[in-house]
Amino acid sequence: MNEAQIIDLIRKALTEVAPGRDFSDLAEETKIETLGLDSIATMEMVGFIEEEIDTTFADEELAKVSKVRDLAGLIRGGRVDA
Amino acid sequence: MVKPFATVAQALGEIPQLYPDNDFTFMDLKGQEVVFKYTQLDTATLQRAAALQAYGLKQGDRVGLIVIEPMDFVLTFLACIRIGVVPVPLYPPMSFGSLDAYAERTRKVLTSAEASLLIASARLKNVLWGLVDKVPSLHKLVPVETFREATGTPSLPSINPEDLAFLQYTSGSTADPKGVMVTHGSLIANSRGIINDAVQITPEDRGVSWLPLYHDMGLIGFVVAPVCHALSITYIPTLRFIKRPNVWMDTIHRHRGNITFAPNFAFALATRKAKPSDLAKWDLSCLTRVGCGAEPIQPDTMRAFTKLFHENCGMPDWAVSPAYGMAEATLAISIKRFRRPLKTVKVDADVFRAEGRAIAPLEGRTIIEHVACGEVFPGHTITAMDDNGNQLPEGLEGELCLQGPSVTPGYFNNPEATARAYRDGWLHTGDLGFVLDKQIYVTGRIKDLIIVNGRNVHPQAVEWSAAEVEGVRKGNVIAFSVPSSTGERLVVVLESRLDDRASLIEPVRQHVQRELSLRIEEVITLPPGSLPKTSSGKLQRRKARQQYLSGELGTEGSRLAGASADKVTLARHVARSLWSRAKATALGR
Repeated sequence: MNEAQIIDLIRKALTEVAPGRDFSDLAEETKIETLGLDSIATMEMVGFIEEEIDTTFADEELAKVSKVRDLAGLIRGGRVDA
Repeated sequence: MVKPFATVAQALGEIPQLYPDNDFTFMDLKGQEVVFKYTQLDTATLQRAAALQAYGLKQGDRVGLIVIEPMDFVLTFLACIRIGVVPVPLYPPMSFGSLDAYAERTRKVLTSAEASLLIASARLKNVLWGLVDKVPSLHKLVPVETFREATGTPSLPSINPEDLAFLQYTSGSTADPKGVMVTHGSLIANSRGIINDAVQITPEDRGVSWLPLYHDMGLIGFVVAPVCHALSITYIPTLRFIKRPNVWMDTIHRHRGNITFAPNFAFALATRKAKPSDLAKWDLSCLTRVGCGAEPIQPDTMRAFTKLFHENCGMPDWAVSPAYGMAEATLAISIKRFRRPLKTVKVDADVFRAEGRAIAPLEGRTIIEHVACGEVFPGHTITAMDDNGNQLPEGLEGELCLQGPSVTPGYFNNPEATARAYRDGWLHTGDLGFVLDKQIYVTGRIKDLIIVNGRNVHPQAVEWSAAEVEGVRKGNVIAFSVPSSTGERLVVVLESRLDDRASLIEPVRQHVQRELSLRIEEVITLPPGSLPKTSSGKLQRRKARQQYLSGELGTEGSRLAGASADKVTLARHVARSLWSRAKATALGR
């Protein structure tokens, strides 16, 4: 997946858990906390992504995610540099 | 029915011999399952108990327990119980959360409990290591994984019904941690009420739970009560359910689960997430008890859940069982009885809000619908009381107060909080409600505690956090929650001298999100002097909430009249979430 496809996937996951909201200006630098999701919706979003790409992220990696860039890194199969 | 035991320790010693083939099955985050027969449970908990004693732990000592893996949690927790060591379950840090606030709360709780040892998942070591120095009583942090290799035989002390079994910390605030002293006797009494009297379940039945084990509903409802009554249980990791909500019903289908429990929000999530292909596959005719508790219960959510899984999967239409309870009453106070239909009562909204009287609505009036949470367990008494401690007749709203063997003796090391809640022989629940035809109806909370997704949040915590944002008038913030279709929505009202007050909305939302991992649904900014206050200048949270619900907030003099205004504002508040859900259903699948 290239960068644009990854952002599209994250956007699709966000739309799934927060329907009706506009995530068109989502970028790698966007902080997850500014997306206005509660903790349940955040994990729901992660679950959606995991299902789409058929993987399970490690808890300790998720705990380090702060920006969309970090999440994108996990999707690429990498780790989060914290 | 299983014979009654005097203590949980006694039940743990005898039940594995009586029901050796019943089991606890643990699923991991990837869905792999490990089965522990009751005989293996017996051996493993004894070995872990011996290892605990090797650390010098004695009967009555407190041990912090911060364990992510359900299997390690359950085995270590029960090992403590068998030798009278008092576990103090704490929640692990949440993903994306702020670690500073987490560490501070954990420090406060461990200090209050005077824990001498902390047992935690190895991967939390870095986060928790710093705590050992900051909690005076604490001298060691032990990875829970070391107990997997435990061997040996513990010496089993004599344990009495009045002995402490574990401490359940309840308060969401860091300021005043309150550890409920759960005793062996209260656990036995409450388990009997739940299992024998309310849900009427037997050792042939199976429970399925994804509930967190550091919370009373998951811990007592699906660990302690089951081992006292020989139930088999399948545990799903909480995070796995949140990420893949369909795992819940799928596991019930595969394991032929007969009982499960969840807060209101999970019913909405399960209803929304079920795919047509799943619904066609699942046979849920076995699912005869679906308990709902721990946060306010929305009748529409219960009906939508029932309709979907009854019509598509054969779940009985009486399966949904609203429950009422609190940690101070061990766990449950009442649960709808097995096989009875879901019951609600519709009352006149104006009369109820103004006078606290639950009466049938007159023609054309706004109504409020309350869900019946069943009758109080046998051997217990519940009543609504007025502010002066007088018992109120049926149908009148007051503070719900409880007597009976499930009531715990109070909070650990906190005589002030104990004296406030346990008075004149009654447990004062702090909940508002009424009793009608023996059914308990819960209508609100005296303390204005906010409950979001089953998590207790003190309004002060939100208010203090919001007030840290530049431009917000300090001490002029009010937080409260209002009902929505899926649970509760968090609303923050604040005052500011800025001309462009609306510019504060996003910063406040983001700040609170960062500090408390909470989403504020609505931030309302008002000019100075708008918030309701007492003559001494104290903020009036309940009044602000009332004004919000009736559309009067910050609009003195321009309010709409009476019930129609209620209807309009309530409809507007609920509409957004309803609308978004409706669109999700139409477009999402």
